[in-house]
Amino acid sequence: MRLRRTRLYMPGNGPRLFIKGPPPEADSVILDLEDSVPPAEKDAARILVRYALESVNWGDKEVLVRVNPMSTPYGPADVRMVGHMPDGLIIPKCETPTDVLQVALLLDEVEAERGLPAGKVKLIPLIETARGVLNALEVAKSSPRNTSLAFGAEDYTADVGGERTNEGSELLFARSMIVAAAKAAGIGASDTVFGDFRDMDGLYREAKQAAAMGFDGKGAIHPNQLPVIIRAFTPDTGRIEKAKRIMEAIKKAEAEGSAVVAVGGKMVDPPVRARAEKIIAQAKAAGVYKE
Amino acid sequence: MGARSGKAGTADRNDAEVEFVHATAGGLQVDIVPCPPEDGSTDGAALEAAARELLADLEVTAGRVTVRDHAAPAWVVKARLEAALGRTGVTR
Repeated sequence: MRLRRTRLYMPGNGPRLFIKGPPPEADSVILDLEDSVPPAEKDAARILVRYALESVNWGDKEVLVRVNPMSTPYGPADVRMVGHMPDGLIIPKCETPTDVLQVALLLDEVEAERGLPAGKVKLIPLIETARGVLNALEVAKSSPRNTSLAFGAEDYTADVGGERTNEGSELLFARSMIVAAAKAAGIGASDTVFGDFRDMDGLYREAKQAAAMGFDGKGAIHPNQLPVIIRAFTPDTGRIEKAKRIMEAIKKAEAEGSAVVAVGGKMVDPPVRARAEKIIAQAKAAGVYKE
Repeated sequence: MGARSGKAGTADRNDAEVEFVHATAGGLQVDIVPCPPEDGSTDGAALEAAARELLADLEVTAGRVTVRDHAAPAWVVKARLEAALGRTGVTR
């Protein structure tokens, strides 16, 4: 199981942040060519990211590049120059299946030109508009390259004319749609970044809520946010012990030929079993599971 | 041919400000300037070698390169030089 609890954005126009390699708490790193790079620096950032992908020791991290939208002159140039190099590309402002297919088709060409296996580079559509939210299922199903959907709350809130609040109810519909669409398509879901990198309590609250909603992880804009997000997305001891008790009861019942399983006076039905299996898998992947 | 000269990079730590000025003759001149000047950490020879390697790859045979180095590794200098060259019309 590949953990995608944290994905750290790093501006692609300056080497300072990624020169020493990724922080250990980052499951994924994103070299950003989009919002953090001004138009006059797009060319230089693209080249810098290409050298960084070749030169920095990224270890076992999942390395992603956020390219510019294909509707701009920068997007196709990004995919042509660096599209074949990372594990995946994040497609910003993704609203329709066409937005994904444009990138996928160009990647097909780039991979073929370079003799790489077709479909090697994965895609993560970033949903950050009202139209994107309403088309989330079609976007999620649009390409076999898709590994997850990501949510961008700042642009989404601006698009619907809303206002970001600490409590976050303005995002509930969009987040629910994105999780449901991603899971219906059989892919992962990654929650939005939390903009205030000094407010760790607010970050933990929002990350915990995202985990409860079914997101697999959350974006980060500062390395200090990573341990907080990991804590929110890692099952605690109580949940792990409960999952273990459920799985032990299932094993015992199966050995005795019984189809009925109960733990603590409550029936264990298939969704309970599935949740227990997921918690154990997450705990093992996170290195916090003890036999 | 594009502009006669091109610049790329920043004065941030671990970055480099690189300028390339085209010439039609006289070969290549590469100057590495540590910033601040008393910074002894810069490996000027390695940075110059990296710059010359890129210039050879791109078949640039004449011109002047100035690298104001802010403790950048060689690959950053190459990236900034490639961007500066690109701004003068020299591309891969």
